[in-house]
Amino acid sequence: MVVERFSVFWQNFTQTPLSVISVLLSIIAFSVIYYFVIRFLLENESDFLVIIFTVVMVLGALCTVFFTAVNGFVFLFVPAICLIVFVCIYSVEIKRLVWNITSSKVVDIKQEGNFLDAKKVQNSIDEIIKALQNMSKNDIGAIIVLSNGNMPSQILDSGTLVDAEVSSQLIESIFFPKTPLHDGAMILNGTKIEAAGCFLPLSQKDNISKDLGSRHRAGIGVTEVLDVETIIVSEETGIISTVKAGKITRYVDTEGLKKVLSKYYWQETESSKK
Amino acid sequence: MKEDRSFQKKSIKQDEQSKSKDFWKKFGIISLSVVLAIITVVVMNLG
Repeated sequence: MVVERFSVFWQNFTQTPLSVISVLLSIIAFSVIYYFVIRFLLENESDFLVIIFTVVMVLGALCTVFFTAVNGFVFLFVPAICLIVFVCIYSVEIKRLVWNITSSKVVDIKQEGNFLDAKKVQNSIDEIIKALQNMSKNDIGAIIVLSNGNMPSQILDSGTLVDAEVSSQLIESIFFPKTPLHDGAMILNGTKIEAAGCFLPLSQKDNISKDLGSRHRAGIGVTEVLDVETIIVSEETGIISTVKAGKITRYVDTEGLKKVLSKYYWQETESSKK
Repeated sequence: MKEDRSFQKKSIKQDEQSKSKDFWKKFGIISLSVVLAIITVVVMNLG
């Protein structure tokens, strides 16, 4: 029976040039889909899932071939179910991937000429550090996102576009309690404040300390889904923290802030030069 | 100078090794994808 099924397939396959082309096109299409799925899994260090996926596919194929009562199209459920499982497991990573593809330069309000002046950069670093220190002293909560023009429009639209040069007075005014924009995040793009009062996605991690509130959770969450860094000032303690790729560093001093900001602007100028 | 040269040689060797590793990784992924795609299409068309 199994041999018969294969011979029928072969007959159908070689019947007309059109059937050959359609089968070859299907193979190419499935190859592309599987290539991206496997590459995605390997990039996310899930080698075991690739092995499980391959084993499940082979077993599914064998079952479909040997249970002659089962139609071949039923086999399509195997990769479909695997894909649904992967989407559920890697929902955050997929969100990050989609945002990074679709949000590249959605709103790009970088400086004209794309070159950041060294003096301007130094001034911005000094102004940001001054504002952070003042807010830390006075226990004013703040969250600043250091973006590279890669913020999704959904996040920017949730706040108010500012498009103003960085200054300590402006930053402190934005985060001053009871002002309309103080509760959201401020998005920095180069030496400009791109937007303020923005809502960020919250981290769903269980291992975040209970001492950290929703501001810290938002600061961590955005770095999990986007390639950005955040600086957070705690409202309760005045402690300054920085977050990169979901990892929080607490008790950051002036030197630490200088390092973070210099690195941010250095990358910014390098990418601008390109 | 000698140290510099040996360091350069070492880094060139490491570069080549990582390139060949990347090539084989890519080749492996493509092969596996094609095999799985052939299995899918053949089984799907068995009727």
